[in-house]
Amino acid sequence: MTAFIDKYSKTILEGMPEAVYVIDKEFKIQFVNNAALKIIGKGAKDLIGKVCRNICKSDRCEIGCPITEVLRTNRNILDLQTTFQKENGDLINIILNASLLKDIDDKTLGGIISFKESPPKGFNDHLNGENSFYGIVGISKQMKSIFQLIKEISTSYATVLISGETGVGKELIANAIQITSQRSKENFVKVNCAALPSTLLSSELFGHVKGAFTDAKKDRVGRFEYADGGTIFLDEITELPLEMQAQLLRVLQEGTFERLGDSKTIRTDIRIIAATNKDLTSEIKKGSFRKDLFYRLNVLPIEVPPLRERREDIIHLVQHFLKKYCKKYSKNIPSFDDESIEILTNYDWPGNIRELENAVEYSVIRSKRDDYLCVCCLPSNLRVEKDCGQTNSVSEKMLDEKTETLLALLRQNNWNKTKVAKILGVNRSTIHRQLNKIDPPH
Amino acid sequence: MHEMLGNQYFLIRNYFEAEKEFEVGLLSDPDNFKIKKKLIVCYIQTGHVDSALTLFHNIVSTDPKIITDTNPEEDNCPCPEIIYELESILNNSEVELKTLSLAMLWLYCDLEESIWYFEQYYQFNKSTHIIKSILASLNKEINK
Repeated sequence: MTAFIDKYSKTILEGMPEAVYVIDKEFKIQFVNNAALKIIGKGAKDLIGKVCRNICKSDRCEIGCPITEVLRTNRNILDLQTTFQKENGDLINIILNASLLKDIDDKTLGGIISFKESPPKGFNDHLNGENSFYGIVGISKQMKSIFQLIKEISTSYATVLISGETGVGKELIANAIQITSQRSKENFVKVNCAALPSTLLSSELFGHVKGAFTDAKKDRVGRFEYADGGTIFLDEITELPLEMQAQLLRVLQEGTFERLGDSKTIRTDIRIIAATNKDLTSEIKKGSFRKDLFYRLNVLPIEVPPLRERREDIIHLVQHFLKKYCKKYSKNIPSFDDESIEILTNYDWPGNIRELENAVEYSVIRSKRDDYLCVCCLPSNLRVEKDCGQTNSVSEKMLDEKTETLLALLRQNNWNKTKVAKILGVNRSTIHRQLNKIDPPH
Repeated sequence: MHEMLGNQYFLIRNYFEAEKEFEVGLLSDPDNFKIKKKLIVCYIQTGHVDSALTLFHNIVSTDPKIITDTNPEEDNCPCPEIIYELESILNNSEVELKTLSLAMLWLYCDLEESIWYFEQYYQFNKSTHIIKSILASLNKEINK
């Protein structure tokens, strides 16, 4: 069988209905199957050896490359909804999976990305029950008033400024504003201002002409030009350098800008949604954010409350993520037990929904039972001195303690097993054995 | 894993994060020249020019081709854009440091330009043994 697979692996990949491409450690494309070529709209010779982000132009390349996420978290990405820009400029919705390609010694060789087109979500797809609004789960008064506001501003093109702590779901709010707006069928471009260095940001946002700088070999359309007629989401707006804030102000006031190195003024019609997790008034006081830009952005302010101020949403979010991760890990656990729910609803969640989601995923992974999730499965920082005392034997409990320590150390050290082995004074193989006990290799 | 993560940060020009990842990557693979040549650029961009020079000397003494074989466009090399920026502000301040940075960065794009900048830097500091050694290696390479 192995010889058969070795011989025909390329043919198998070629024949898959799902689009697949493989990149090396340098993020250069090394293999593309027929389904991917069809979606991308280019020939293999135009793709092989090219850096993937120059080809794929997925919104994820800017706001969080999937392979980078896998590298950071050591977890595969499954069923990620994102967009992909085809060669002809069309933006399509895709569902994407990403994982690392490793050799027999567990050394990273590159990454595998598979994706397929997904139909755009219709209005009703997002309204999954009365506890959710376009994928945003919440029943609290604060969230309901935000949902109401989003509905009310659906006919407006005014600039929106979303503020709130990290992890409260500002991007989901931006998505909901865009999809309910009259520009929902136009381009929706997302830019994380913190993810791009200032040297690239200007060219990314405004584009450049050939010869604008040494590396500008051809003209390039910027994000503002690409979003013309549609919407642009500027996340972490306070990370924009001051000189770019002045340029953004001009776009807001006059709707005009120039590509880098060009004297021709371009007129654009875009709706801007900006987001920040910082207090803009104190940024203004510090001199790192322009007051005039703040007033221009703050036309429709939306403040997303932290989770600790809307505890009634926690139970609904827990159920939502429990369903999501049970599906992901092929488990069928209907709920948490009462004690766990009490802990989850009383915890302050400084990392907000992102932290809650991680906690639920952790619990689902650790659960050994099928009827409900108990306190033992919760992350250790939540279950201080709590123990269900029902399921695990003494040896299992000891294993849990060890596992907790091991996982915590691995997380702190970017999953570098060698480093953690040194810290613990054990061999690397001991770490492997311990990890296999948690998640045996299949 | 660290090398690949460093590569991603390098691609998006996040030199601080790339530097961290590459340094960890080098710990487990100390002879990895692909990491080293990118780490030089990171060091220059994060202000650790001395560290960049040490690595640069190490590579050039081994084989200057490791750097001169770079294809700025195919490799998405940031050197052309950094050179463009540095040259436009060269005479403002810290001329010595910028000349040294340009000397190293030019080797990724043009050997002759690199030698020219190293010669300029040598005028500032003739007692630097490391620069003499680099110039000798580069001149040997150009005369091949």
